[in-house]
Amino acid sequence: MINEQPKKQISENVPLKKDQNFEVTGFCGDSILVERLKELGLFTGLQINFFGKSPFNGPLLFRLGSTVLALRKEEAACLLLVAV
Amino acid sequence: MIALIGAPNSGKTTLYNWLTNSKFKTVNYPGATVEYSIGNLGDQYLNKTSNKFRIIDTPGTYSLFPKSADEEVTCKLLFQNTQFNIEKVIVVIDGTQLSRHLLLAKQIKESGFAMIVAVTMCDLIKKNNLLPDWKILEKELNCPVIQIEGLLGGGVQNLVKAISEMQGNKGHELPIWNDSILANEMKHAEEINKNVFHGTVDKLKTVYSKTAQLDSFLLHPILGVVFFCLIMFALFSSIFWLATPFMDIVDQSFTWLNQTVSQISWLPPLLVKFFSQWCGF
Repeated sequence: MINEQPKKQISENVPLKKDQNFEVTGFCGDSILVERLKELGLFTGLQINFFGKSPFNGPLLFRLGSTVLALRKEEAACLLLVAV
Repeated sequence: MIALIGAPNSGKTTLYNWLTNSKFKTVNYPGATVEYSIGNLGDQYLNKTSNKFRIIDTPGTYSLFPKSADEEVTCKLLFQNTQFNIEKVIVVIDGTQLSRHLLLAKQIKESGFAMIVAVTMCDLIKKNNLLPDWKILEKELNCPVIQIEGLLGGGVQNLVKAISEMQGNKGHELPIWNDSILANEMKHAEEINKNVFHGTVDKLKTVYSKTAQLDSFLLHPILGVVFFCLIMFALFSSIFWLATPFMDIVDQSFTWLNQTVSQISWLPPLLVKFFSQWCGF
């Protein structure tokens, strides 16, 4: 089944609900940041769970497997996600 | 000379402390080690090996292509340092995050260094009744895989034995891995992770589930701030109301000592004055 939802960057103010699952469909933006995100374990096709957000515009928290990644807004903005 | 290489927070410094009887600070967040440290193998391991070798603890790095100053320290140490001729590498991998840490292990393997993999956090894995098959990882990486329990130092003796049996080999810098290679390697690492844990990878989530329950309060956008203020207020006010009884006890003790010393008739007056004034009674 094809997911017809358009790809959305986190920087486009996609409303992120706690415990919502997303699939990584691609990357964009600064190449060094993108490479770092891949080294941290993110890849196209991976399903991640939005865990929460730190207060005062702090990092966004994503769970992948047993790991929680805290990504700054500019780092998270490099992710292209689709809600699943 | 043997280098401990691994991702941040994988347990390198804890392992280093066990191997060299050092007491370097370890914390539960990444970025604690920012410079390399060198130590000698502890004397208690000399029955496992006749060689006295030196061990280098390094700042954590996610790959051999550095993106920060501390990662550069590690990579320069491996490839550009002529003072320490590193031919043996212990790749430290957090067993609860195997897929994320395998990338570095594969890069070390491709670069040609003689390597051993030390899997840490094995005590956490055992505690959650997971039974990984590390032989699969040994076959995949073609090197010994030693399980380490950081809390009590379990497995360190086996690691020392494996190091002494290892033949050294100097590695070389790798050509840059492009996006396609990186993506393929990460997917392969995920497959290895699933195979090692026999498809019970989801059980790894239980390792941190207890802290996750606390996180729902402590990381709440409003409650989190409230808890933070309460904890800081409690710490600050405890300096006064919690310490006051102990301060009173100490004060009364010194007053009693002063009176007792003053009443000892056979002590010379100069000595009595010394104890009461200069020792703070």
